[in-house]
Amino acid sequence: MSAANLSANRQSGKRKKLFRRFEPYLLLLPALLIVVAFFAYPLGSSLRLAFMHYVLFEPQNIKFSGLDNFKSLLSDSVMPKVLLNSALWIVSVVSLQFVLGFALAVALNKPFRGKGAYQAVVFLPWAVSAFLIGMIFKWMFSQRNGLINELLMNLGIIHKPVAFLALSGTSIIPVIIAMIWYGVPFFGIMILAALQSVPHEMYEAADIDGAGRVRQLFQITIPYIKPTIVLTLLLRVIWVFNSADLIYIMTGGGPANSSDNLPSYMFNKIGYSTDFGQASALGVFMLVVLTLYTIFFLRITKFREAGDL
Amino acid sequence: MKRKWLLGMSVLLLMTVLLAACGGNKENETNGANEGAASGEKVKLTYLDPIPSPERTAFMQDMIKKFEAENPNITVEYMSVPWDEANKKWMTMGAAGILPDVISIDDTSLAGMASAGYIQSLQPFYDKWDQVGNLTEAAKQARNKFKDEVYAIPDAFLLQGLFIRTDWFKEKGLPESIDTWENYFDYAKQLTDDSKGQYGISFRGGANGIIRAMEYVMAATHSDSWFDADGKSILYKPEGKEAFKRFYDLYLNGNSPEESINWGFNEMVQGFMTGQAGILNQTPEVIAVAQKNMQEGTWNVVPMPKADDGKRYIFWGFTAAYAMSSNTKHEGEAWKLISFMSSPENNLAYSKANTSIPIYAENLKDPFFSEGPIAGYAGSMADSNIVFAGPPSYLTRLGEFTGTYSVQETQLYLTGSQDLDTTVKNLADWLTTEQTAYLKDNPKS
Repeated sequence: MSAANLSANRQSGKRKKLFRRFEPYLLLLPALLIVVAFFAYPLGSSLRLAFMHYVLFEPQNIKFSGLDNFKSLLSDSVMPKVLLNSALWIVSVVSLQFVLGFALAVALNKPFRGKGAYQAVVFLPWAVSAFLIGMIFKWMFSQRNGLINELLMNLGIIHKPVAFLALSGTSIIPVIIAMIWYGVPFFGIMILAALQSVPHEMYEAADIDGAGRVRQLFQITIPYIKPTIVLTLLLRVIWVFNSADLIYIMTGGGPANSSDNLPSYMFNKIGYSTDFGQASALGVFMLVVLTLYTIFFLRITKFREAGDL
Repeated sequence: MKRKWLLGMSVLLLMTVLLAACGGNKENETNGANEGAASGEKVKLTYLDPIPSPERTAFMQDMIKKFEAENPNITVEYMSVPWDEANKKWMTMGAAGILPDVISIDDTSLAGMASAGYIQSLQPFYDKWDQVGNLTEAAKQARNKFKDEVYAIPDAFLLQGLFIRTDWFKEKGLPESIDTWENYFDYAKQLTDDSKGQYGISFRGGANGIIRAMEYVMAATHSDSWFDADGKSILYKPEGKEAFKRFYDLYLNGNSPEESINWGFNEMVQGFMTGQAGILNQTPEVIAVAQKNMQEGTWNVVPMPKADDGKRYIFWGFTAAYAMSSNTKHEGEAWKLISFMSSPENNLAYSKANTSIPIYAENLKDPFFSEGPIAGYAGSMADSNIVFAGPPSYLTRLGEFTGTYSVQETQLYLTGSQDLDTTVKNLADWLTTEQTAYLKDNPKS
């Protein structure tokens, strides 16, 4: 009797142990299911699509086509120009956004009257829709009644209005300016939050030790907020890389693709051709580029060690 | 300090949410109204409208209500999709097999949708339809067919007309009409005054601009198609290339604003409204915009110019023809709805509401179409010397050509990065390749 009891006890103990072992996974299951349904599945199917001939207009002709989509992407004669534009777009937008955002955060990191209201105004661009910003800047840069032309004419720099958005080769610059203006508050907000976490005593001690303002910036402020800087730069590069809205609204990529970046070019092209296979191939290509970039960026910035003074 | 900032941001956020909520409510209300009506009925049809606007949606729902009153056993659920996403929406719905019973589609999508098998032939219904005899010649010739079978009943027609600044024309002592293409190029030059920022033509250098250029190329080469009888692009012909050059010289010679190299629909309309350009080639829906934004007496619409053989090479198209989904379970009821919406009475009201050209000859006699700007369009359609000369919408990749490929090529030419010969050859090659492939699959046409 007692032996049977014991074995029963042992068995239920075993069952309990087994349950305990799987319990965490069971609790994780709903979250996992959501991830699978909304991230893994779409990612998987777009990977599959990248290797297929899949044009909405030709539903009878859907088939696996191997590397055809990638080949036609690489052989596209406009691609070099678009890739170059993309590089220019990311480097100039992110670096200037960062520098200006950093300056903004440093300037706002001290108390003054009306700071709250001022901050809200400064951060406003971030809350405005890209469509509206595109329209405003398009109008500012327009040849007729454009603010910028009016200003330059009054200053005597130019004598005839310039069609900035129609200049072959440089029409991306107005869009870059608009994008910089749009993104500065993002860096401002993030860096300001980080700056507020730097202990004030550090600066006092540095003052006593005779460190100047510049030295304080590079040896105290920046090392302290490095994790934030690294993360925001990382995120921002990805967002800017993927953004096409301002280009689409301001120039539509023209003239002759001189203001197209990778996503805007493909958006235009696929919008008209309904070639989902090629769109997915480009998506995969962009995913690979961004993944490599992320690994590389985190390596060289030593993100794991960042913040250890 | 941090709190104040937080407060500012949260107020902003709240406003955004409120705005979004307001926007959402309306939709819910209309949905609710439809669902309420749907309860307890036998057959339920769905209808997808691709050009919603507050006025149009109200008009369509009103028409649907009348239909439901006449057919108490049928209810119709009205759905809509913004025009810019419409093509993608019905293609994806078709691919997924969830296309509504009745949809309105434009003539450039019809071939693609029909060849994909997403919409079904209406020929059996059309053959028995008692209204066929009353249709205009234009309606019979329209591109609502695929492999010679009718796949959709046109809602009404749009065609090109020339908006002109009558005050500019008066100032220069020009007649207030543009009879021939010669006049068109001549007036464009005369109206241009660079120092005042005034130009002859509101030029379309962006998406679909090539369609305007090809209209002139067809008129100049007396061709009713983009291709000759052998399936070769008319751009290969020396006179075709000459016409192409002459058309794009409008931009290169400065008879249109420099920025117009990027212009699409909105920009070219704005260019005309804001007094940058004196001539605008556009469809009747722009009349309402012009009436709202321009002073009376400063503008009018005149018919498209004639070619040197005295004929008008124009094309008329529909934007929302009624088609039936292949997967509908209620074919009879769906046809009932289509023929109801296409009845002479409803078609007249619809055409007036949309300032478009009706499909019935009798409706064209309504005084509405002989007065004011709309007469500029109705005039072309009433003239017997018209040649239907439209883009080859049966090519499934036409949208890619007019929307991206031709835009790149012509912009390269207009910015001086590519010479005329290369540009014309590239365009002609692209089109000829597609046409050859099409002719191989469809030898008859």
